[in-house]
Amino acid sequence: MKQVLYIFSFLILSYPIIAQESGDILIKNGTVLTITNGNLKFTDILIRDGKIKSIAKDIKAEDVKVIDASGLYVMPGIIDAHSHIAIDAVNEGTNPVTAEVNVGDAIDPYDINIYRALAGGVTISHAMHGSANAIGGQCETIKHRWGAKDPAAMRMDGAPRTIKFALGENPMRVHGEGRGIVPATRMGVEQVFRNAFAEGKAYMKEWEAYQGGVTSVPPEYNLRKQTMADILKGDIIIHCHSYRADEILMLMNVLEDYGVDKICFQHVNEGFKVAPELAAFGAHASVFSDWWAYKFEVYYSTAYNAAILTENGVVTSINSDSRELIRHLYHEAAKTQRYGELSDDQALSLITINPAIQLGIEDRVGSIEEGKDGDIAIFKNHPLSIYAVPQYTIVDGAVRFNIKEDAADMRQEVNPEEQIPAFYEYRAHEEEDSCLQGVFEQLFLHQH
Amino acid sequence: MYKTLFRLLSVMILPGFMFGQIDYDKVKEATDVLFLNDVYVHNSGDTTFTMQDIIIQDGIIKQMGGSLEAPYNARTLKVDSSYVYPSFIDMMSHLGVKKEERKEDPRVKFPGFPPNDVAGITPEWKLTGKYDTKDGGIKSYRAAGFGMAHIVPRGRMLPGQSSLISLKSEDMVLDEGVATYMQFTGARRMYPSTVIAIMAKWRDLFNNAAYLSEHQDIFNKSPLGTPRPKKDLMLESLIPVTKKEQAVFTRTESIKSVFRALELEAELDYQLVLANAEVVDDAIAKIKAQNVPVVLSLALPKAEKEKDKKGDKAEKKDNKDKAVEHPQKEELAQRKRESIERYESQAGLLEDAGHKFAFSTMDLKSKDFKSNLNRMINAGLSKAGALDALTINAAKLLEIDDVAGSVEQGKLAYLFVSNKPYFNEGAHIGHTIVDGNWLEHPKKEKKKAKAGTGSGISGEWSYEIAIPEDERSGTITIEKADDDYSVTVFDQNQTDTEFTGNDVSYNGSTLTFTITIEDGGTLIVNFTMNFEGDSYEGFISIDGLGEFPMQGQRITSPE
Amino acid sequence: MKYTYILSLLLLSTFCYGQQVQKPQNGIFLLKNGKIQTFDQGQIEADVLIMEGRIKEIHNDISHPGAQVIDCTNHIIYPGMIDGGTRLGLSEVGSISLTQDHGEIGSYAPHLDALTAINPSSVNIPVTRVNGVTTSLAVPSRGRFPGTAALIDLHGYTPEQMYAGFKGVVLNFPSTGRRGSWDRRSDEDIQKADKKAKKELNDFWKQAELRQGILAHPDADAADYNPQLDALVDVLNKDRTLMLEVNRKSDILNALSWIRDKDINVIFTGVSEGYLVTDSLTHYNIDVITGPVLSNPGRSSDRYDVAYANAAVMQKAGIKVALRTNESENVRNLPFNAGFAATYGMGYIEALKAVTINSAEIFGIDKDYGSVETGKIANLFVADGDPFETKTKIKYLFIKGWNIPMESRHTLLYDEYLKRSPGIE
Repeated sequence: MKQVLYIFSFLILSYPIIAQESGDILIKNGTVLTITNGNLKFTDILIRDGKIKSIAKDIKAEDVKVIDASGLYVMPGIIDAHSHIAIDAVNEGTNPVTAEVNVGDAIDPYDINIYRALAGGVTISHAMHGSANAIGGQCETIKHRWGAKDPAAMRMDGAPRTIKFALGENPMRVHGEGRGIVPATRMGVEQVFRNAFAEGKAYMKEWEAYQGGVTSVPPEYNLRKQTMADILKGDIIIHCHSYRADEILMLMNVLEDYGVDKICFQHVNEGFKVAPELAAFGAHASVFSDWWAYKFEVYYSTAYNAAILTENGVVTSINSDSRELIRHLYHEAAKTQRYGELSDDQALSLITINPAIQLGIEDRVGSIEEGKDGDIAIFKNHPLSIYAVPQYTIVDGAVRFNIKEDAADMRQEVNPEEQIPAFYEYRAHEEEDSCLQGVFEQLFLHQH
Repeated sequence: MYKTLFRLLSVMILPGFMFGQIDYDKVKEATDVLFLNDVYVHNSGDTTFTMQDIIIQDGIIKQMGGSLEAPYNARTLKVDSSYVYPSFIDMMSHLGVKKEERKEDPRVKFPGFPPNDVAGITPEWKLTGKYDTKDGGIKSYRAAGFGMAHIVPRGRMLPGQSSLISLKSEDMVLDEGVATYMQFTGARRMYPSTVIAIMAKWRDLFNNAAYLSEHQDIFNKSPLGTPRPKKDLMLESLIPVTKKEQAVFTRTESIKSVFRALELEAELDYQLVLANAEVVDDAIAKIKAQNVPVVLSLALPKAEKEKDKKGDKAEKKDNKDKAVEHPQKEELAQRKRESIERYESQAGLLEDAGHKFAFSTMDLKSKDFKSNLNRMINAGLSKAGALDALTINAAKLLEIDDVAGSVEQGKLAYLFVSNKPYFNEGAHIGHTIVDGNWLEHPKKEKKKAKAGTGSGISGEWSYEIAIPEDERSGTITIEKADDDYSVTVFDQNQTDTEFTGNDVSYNGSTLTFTITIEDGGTLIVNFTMNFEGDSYEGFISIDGLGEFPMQGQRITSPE
Repeated sequence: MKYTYILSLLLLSTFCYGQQVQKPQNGIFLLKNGKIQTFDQGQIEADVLIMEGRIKEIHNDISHPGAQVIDCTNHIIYPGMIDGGTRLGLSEVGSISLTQDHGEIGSYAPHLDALTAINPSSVNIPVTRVNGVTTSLAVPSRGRFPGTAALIDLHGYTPEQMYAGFKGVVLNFPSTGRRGSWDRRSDEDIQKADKKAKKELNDFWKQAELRQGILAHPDADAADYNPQLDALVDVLNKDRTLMLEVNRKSDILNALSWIRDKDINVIFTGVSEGYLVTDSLTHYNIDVITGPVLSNPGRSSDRYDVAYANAAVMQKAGIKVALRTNESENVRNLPFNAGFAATYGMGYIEALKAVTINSAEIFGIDKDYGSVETGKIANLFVADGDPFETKTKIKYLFIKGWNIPMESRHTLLYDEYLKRSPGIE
């Protein structure tokens, strides 16, 4: 019994695997942007059982759906390393440490934003907990299997566990300013991490003692500390909301002290200032293309951040953190060509193989290679051009977006009380800081 | 499944219940023996009947048979050739559960660590002392054919344990601590506030309860040298859950919450009941695989026609401009229709899948009960299936089917008598017998309306009541069925508050009715409305407080 | 060796605050060997002479003694882009309310003047203009009548120097849309609030009409101070344009019937559901400033690209359309908004017009703004290709004839940190 419970978090993985619809498809005669192996003109891709079976000219295959990609650009499905779509809860902003919560519990497979992301070529997103807490919740890497009814079917099975950390203004604002409790400063934020890691370590020891027969009764069970222990064991990749150079260095120091090395800094607007240190640590960076000045800690930013990080050898991605931006990440990546003159391959890597590396799924997605998942985005015009228009988006060999055939209204769930769905006014800046989603309702404060 | 559930459902204490105290305001019943002669008794699992005579004594169906002699001491009910059904069992509601007074949220220094009761985590609480035996709902439920209700506490994540009650005015509690009740409802501004924290907290509590139990066992076996297990009533109350001795009724209206509850069950392994579910279709395969009982909500989204009348006014306005219609108007209307049909079809889908279910009335407006059943039947549910869900299936789920859930000799006397088969047009429940306690429900006399004017007040009306320092406004909906009026009052000052009018009477120009407001105490408000075309003037009177003028206009009329 | 070290330290110390180090230059500029983007004749080869802040001459093979010659070979000259609605100059750091000057408290303040609060030193301004945006409308927000918007050129040391000749009174027309997923008002409540708002609006309007009549009388007391109403009187006298913000379909229709009997100059802004009511908009001959193009559909049932395509649908129906970003620090994305509009139906030329000449015409300043033509104010930029294309590089930028350095906080930080020195120890 105790064994089972102690490792219960792994039970989730052993839960019967949900049938995940996958298909067979042949994409003919496109310009294939493989990302890892150059560009192949007039090339076919055959997907069988959801996996890329072959990439060659003039592939003959029977009994498969054929997409004529003549004159079109075929690239790997776009991956967003930072989003908050497809989940019903973003922030459990009630405590500076909530490692035990998991947004994967709150997947909303009917969120229309999944479809809209597909219409921008995005096949995988990293649904993240928000940044209200220094240690927020665990995140979920989801595949955009639009149409699946079971939330579990959205999970990318086998993707490594990830967790959200947050530095700077958000945890300081929510807890320090909002409630008058630690942390109200970046000094305090550091101690929140040190304290949580120390407790996780002690917890691990207590349980080892019990399991080794040293103690006779079970210690108190605590899912929060258990999760910290899992991070210490290297089972969870940290994705840390961060802006300022000093706090980025601080967290790397803390992690070094606790022997943790899997870290991707998110937003990391001042990453460009400490790019050599990030590269040396092996830390990754997932950044906005051009967001800045929406709060003080991003006032000294530059849209050249991604270019500087890339040139310094940091594995870098461009993310959305927004249900609007996620629809045109191909355009966001292209901005690194205006701001830093990255090559096509470098720019496209920022939304394909690099985020895949950051999520620990690069062996399965992020480039067009035989054996990888059949996640493909097909564009009219080069995806980095402003004139690019996504035509088809394919997940596991199944077409999930088809510009010609899809209906206008693609809702999965229809409110039975509503004849014509409500109209939502555009609110300037509603997207910024969507990392703090939900917190202000909890705090009864206004956002601006 | 419910080892703790009562074995003896009823103790007959009708006569002399206050021993030694004389009370001449009450008249002792001449007999507690009832005789029903030549009635058609509903056969469970079917829509057929068997003609029987029934003798009821001591709250039990003493005898059933083809041609019984009326006992000398029996009261014979005049129900020849009527139809007898087992009383309905409401599988989940707040019927009779007092509303907590709204208190200001207590200040908590660390919102991450609130006291359990403040956070809404009180699984050890029972409903003792929290019933209101005079709750108006009990009477109307009983008139609608219900005999028992499984009621759950109000609150947040784990508000406490449920009770089973009998729908009569005295001695109503049959059992307490029947099941643990859980909701994905977060605490206000403190942990756990979101669904993700509730799920994490559940795992944490569940495992801690299991470990506490393990610790207790170790300690009990060899107390010497073993650290004492902590005394924690809250955690201890969950130990039966971890041992599958008590079920967890989890409120899951949406399909997403159904999936979430199923995932927790698969992970932790306990007796889950999906309660008050509105949509289950896409989860049926999982529900069957995990063998989880379902309690479907009897509430349905408003039917198309009714809704159109009231309408999405904001959008209706659009349509006034004939030149500009929404380009997807037809498609959107179709999708909405399909969505309504989806809700209506759930019971039929479960029946087709061969998965037994019961019904809850939690969010049901009592006037919609039978029409919603009919909508489900039109959408594919069989009549027999509907009756089973309301009777024997519910009894099985509560593990009381050996004594309740059908009309059989030896079972407890929970039944009602209808003049026609239940689903027939004009069927009326004239008698209910609950725990042997008999009530007659006479069909209301049709009042003769003044020709030409009587039907004129149906529809929706606004109201404004000038109470000093407390202006009230809202809408009053008047509906006419045959010649009887029913009234519903929506008060805008108390959000989501709806009151049903009692003692409604209309003389052709003046409508009077009363509503009962539970707000700490009980407040009876008498309404008098004098209609003049599309407006009215009138007043409300409240005992002890006086009269206050009211007025209003017509908002909508029926087609 | 030592000398260069000290020099580089000096350089560092000037760079590291991200401040401007180069100044804009005034003078006579001759743009040689480039092509000029026109709206109806494609790209024509010609030289452009800039003098005294204006385009003095456009001709083949101009020569002018004393002119600074700027080689534009293989480059194209575009009119400076105009953003029809922003908070640029009124907002510095989003989350810090004390750096936000666009939302005053109170509902009826049409007289509040955006120009007065423009911060010429805003770090956001250089960041914006290096992408080819030379002019933007600073729009107040919050309340029914949040104030008077002002058009500014993105160079100058005082608001007056920056002023570009248009002001408009902003009206946030009563809205029946929802403000967010947390807005769970019933439809009835929304209608009720809308009715109340419209009544208040009409009461205010009637007061202004009354005031207009009183002021027109020869005995009128000139000292009677009522700035709120006077701002509306300007609108009633057609001295000021009304900028009416409205988005939801039924609100647009309501707004149209609201202005029907009013003899005023009016522009509709926002108009997200304009694509559903193009007939009505053309019937009333309404000019529209719409955007951002890069935004989500308003309804869950909408096709994913309605916001991309809205401007194009209206333009094709014959409505004069200009674009806006509604942004503050990222007004620089105006060309990309136009690019998406071009891609989703508008086409390159119409999209270009929507950020140049159409805006100028709507603001009534097309005599001076909106195209590269002789006599107009020299607001233009020189790029190596399509200005909407993301990777296009802008080489030169002129605002009111000033040659603007192509640098901003973002380029300066890039220059400083690309190869950080010292790097890692």
